[in-house]
Amino acid sequence: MVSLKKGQTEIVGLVIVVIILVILALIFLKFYITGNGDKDSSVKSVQANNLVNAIKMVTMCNQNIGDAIIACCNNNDFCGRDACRLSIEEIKKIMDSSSEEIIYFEAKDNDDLCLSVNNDCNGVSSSINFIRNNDGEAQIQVKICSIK
Amino acid sequence: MRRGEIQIYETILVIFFFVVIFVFGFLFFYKFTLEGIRSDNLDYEEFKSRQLISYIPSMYELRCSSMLAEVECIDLGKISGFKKVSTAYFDIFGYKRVIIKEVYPGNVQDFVIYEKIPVKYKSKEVIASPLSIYSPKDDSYKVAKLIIEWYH
Repeated sequence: MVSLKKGQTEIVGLVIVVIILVILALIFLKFYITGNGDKDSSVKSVQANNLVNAIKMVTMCNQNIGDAIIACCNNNDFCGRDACRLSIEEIKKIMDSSSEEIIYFEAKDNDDLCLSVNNDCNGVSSSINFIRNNDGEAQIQVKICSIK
Repeated sequence: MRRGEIQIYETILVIFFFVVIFVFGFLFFYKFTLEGIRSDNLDYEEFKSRQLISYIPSMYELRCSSMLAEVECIDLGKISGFKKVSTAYFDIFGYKRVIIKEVYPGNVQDFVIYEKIPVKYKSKEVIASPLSIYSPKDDSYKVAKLIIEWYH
């Protein structure tokens, strides 16, 4: 057996440490690159758009919720009730029954917030949907915040 | 033993260890490559399942239409017809179960529009999304959940 000198032993030790560090860095890189954040946000984006589309089309009193939201933005009644209260109740029911996540809903009339359900968050947003009828128009949007 | 013999044994030992290390290395490489292919395949299947959430509501076989205008919802009147021919959609759906579950305003009802479950599978994943549905019976729009179960 050839005995290693002190300098050589230190070099071998250094090489082993470097190899271990490289392996750890590769493992970290693998998990970092293959994270599924993009996949989740793309699914949530589709879910948010499907939800906002479903909300605006729901039939209520032979009209749809979109009409109730516009009535709310115009401070009118809908179906013999306060349009805002009715819209909030029904939208909350829809969101609770169709998703396990906390969802923020808002309706705006020319950038003035006229209706919101739940608290605003930094979640994945749907695109802004325009609803209109003979009484006016509004923009609605949902944001998927997090799991309940 | 003579010095020459010792050197021969030493060479044989080195070759033996080299072969052992090479075989182990090759086996690891093979296993990792195989796992990589399986993982890619699973990712692809997952991607296809996720795509179905936006694809199914836009299928002409199921989506609502009124006076030649397309509406973003699923027509419940078209579901029974689709179910009869759903087996022809195996190329698109694969081994999955697609359910439309009515959730609002109540009258909770499930419609299984496609079902092809493999005989053997390791696990089942579920992806769901809200959806607008049109009920021709009472001429109303409701909310449902599109549930896609995929097996692998």
